[in-house]
Amino acid sequence: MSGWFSHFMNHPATYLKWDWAQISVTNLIVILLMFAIFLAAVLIPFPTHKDGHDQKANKGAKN
Amino acid sequence: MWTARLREGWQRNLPIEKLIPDAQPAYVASWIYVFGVLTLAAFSVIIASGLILAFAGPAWYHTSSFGLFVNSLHFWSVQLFFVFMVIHLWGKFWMAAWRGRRMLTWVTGSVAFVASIATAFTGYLIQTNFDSQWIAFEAKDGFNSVGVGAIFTVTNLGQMLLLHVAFLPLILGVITLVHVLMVRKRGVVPPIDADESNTYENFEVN
Repeated sequence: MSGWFSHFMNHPATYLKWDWAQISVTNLIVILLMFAIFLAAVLIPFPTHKDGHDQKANKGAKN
Repeated sequence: MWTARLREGWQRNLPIEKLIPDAQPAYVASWIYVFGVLTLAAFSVIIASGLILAFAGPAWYHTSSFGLFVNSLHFWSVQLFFVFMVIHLWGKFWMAAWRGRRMLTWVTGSVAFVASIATAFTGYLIQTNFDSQWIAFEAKDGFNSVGVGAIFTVTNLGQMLLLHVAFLPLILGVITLVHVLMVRKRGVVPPIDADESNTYENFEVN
């Protein structure tokens, strides 16, 4: 390991603190990434096929 | 005959068309509906890599390069499992997935979440390194303070190892199976603004 990665892996985590609450920057990044994935999953359209199978699947659905 | 009653009950509650459907309602075509099966996929990798680790043993997975790879695969698939499961949980919470007689689906999912935390926790405790030692000695005070330290001893490596590889995966697997069967029985929950007629019960399987 070398450079920033070595520094990152061989030093204690950096913590953010607000009064009684604290969180490591690493955990905060993971949580923010999960929020980003959640929003992307809700907002990005799902690819669909325009074949007969999907036409059957759409039967009874609100369009 | 109890076997006939069991068969008839199964066919009535979960016919094969619901158990293995070949079509889904239109609203399932959304990325947020993918995270349940992503969680199951990660769980499959965890079980497969865990079986390899259990059969080969720590003398292999702590020393050989392929053993270290499988050990890391087991660890990182758990991280992805939790990411996928939490996003699945957020999605289902915000669409009130307990609607339409799906309470048992929601409850088994919640119990599976708690069982997953217990399983992952015992996994952290059996790493046999300074990290696991730190976690165990921090956690023992918590468990002692609520009076369960004598029967659930986090510093007892043998107990944690057996719970992690034998008991907890079995419990988690059974709860997950019931959860998936309930999803098949009641159908995938529709979005809140979906047409009432667009439910699994009314959906015609091709």
